[in-house]
This record gives sequence, C-alpha cells and structure tokens, in this order.
Amino acid sequence: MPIELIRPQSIHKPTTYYSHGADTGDVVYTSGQAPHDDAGAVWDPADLAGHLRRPFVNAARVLETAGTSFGNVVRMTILLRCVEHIELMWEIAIDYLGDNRPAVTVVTVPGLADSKYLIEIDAIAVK
Amino acid sequence: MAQRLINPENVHSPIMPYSHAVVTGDTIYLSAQLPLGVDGRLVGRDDIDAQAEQVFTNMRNVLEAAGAGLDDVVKLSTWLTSRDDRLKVMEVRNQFFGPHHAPSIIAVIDELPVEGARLQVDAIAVVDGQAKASTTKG
Repeated sequence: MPIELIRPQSIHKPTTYYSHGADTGDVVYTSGQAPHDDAGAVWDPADLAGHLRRPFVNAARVLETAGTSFGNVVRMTILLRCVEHIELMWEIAIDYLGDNRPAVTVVTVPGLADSKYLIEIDAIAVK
Repeated sequence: MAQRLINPENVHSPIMPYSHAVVTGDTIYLSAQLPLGVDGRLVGRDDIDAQAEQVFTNMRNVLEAAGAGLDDVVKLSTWLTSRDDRLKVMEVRNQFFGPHHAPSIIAVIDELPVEGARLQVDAIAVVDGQAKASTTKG
C-alpha cells in the first residue's frame, strides 16, 4: 500500500529524523505532537494553557494536511508530565474533538523528548 | 469510514470525555483500561492481582461489546507504576489470554490518571470481517 509522509508547511519542521504523519490511504498516523510554536520554539510552559494547547494546534494541521481532522480520530495517546494538568488538557482537547469521543490513553511520564515539554500527543485517524 | 463508539453497560463510564473503544472497519481501538469496577471505583487498592484481574475483565467486556474477544488483540500496551508488579500482571494476563500471546510493550511510569491505580493496559484488536454489532450505551 502506498504511504504518503506528511510534513506540513504550516507547522515547525520535525525536530529529528521523522515525519509529522503518515497517510496510508484510509488511516492517518501522526507522530507525537509537541508544544512547539510555528517557528519551532517550545511554547513557554509558564503559559500552561497555551503550552498544553499547542500540540493540538499542530496535530490539527497535520491531520488537515492529510485530508482529515480531529473529528475522524479513533485513538489518541496523551503523555503528560504532571497528572494535575489532566483537567485542563481535557478542556483543550474538547475544543478540537467536538463531539468525537475516541479511544484514549493518558499516561504521566517522568520525561519527554525535551525537558521543557509538559505534554505530547499522538493520534490515529480513519478517513 | 464509519465509526462506532463502544461504552458497554458492564464497564464503568469513562472517567473523562473519551470512549472505551472505537470500531472502524475491522479494527478496534481500545482506550487504556483501568482497575475500576462498574461503579467507577478503584478495585484492589494495594492488590496488584485484583487490579490486573479488573483491567483484563474490563478489556474483555469492551471487546465483547465490540463483537470481538481477547483472541483478536494484535497489540497490547501496559503501564505499571512498579516494575515489581510485572510478573504478577503477566500471570494474570496469561490467565485471560491463554495461548494467544499478543505483541506487547510494557513501560514503568510514576503516576496513572487514577490515584491508587498500579496499572493500565490498552489494546488494538482486529476482527475477521466487519465487527459485529452489540449492545452499547455510547
């Protein structure tokens, strides 16, 4: 099956050797989306809501580039550094998911790819 | 592609705005299953065997509501708060899965979304043909 790698111009370049997404036709897989701004800088964690929102902004653009959206997401993994952020994270997530209620796994972890990250999310969408 | 959300009556309501599973075509994506009884309360505080039994019971119930079973699981991800629990969890898992040794990843982490929970497990399952309809409340 042909696989199209997704590297949207609308978000930062991948930080290392990966693509932001892969589109297999019906199914779109995203990489872990991190709290980077469009230029690639890490969103200031002191702005917690902005920081937690940023991966959703980036994931939405990856999905859009692949011809789909959060409304078609069937599964997400959400990695948090602090379990206390879960309520705020969900408030933000609902802005993107709307009425969609996919399968989700939330994990709090002692570290992420960058020491300033407080969140990372990935998603699988089915067109 | 059409999606069907699975939230069976014999598993607690999701603790946040998600579904226990999504069926799309032949594939079933499960949320992480927690050691919560149907009333949503933690089962087996400080008892990893009881917690693991609850997690895999919930997983089986969600899969059955989606028209599948544990034999249809193609990938398991397990998060533990203590590496010392690993062998006990594997023993319980083996009781549920028998000879069906699905691909698996295990990670040890500091915390889980539910206070007192010592494990959560999610899964992807694939059924032969369209997943069967079943009773759901979601």
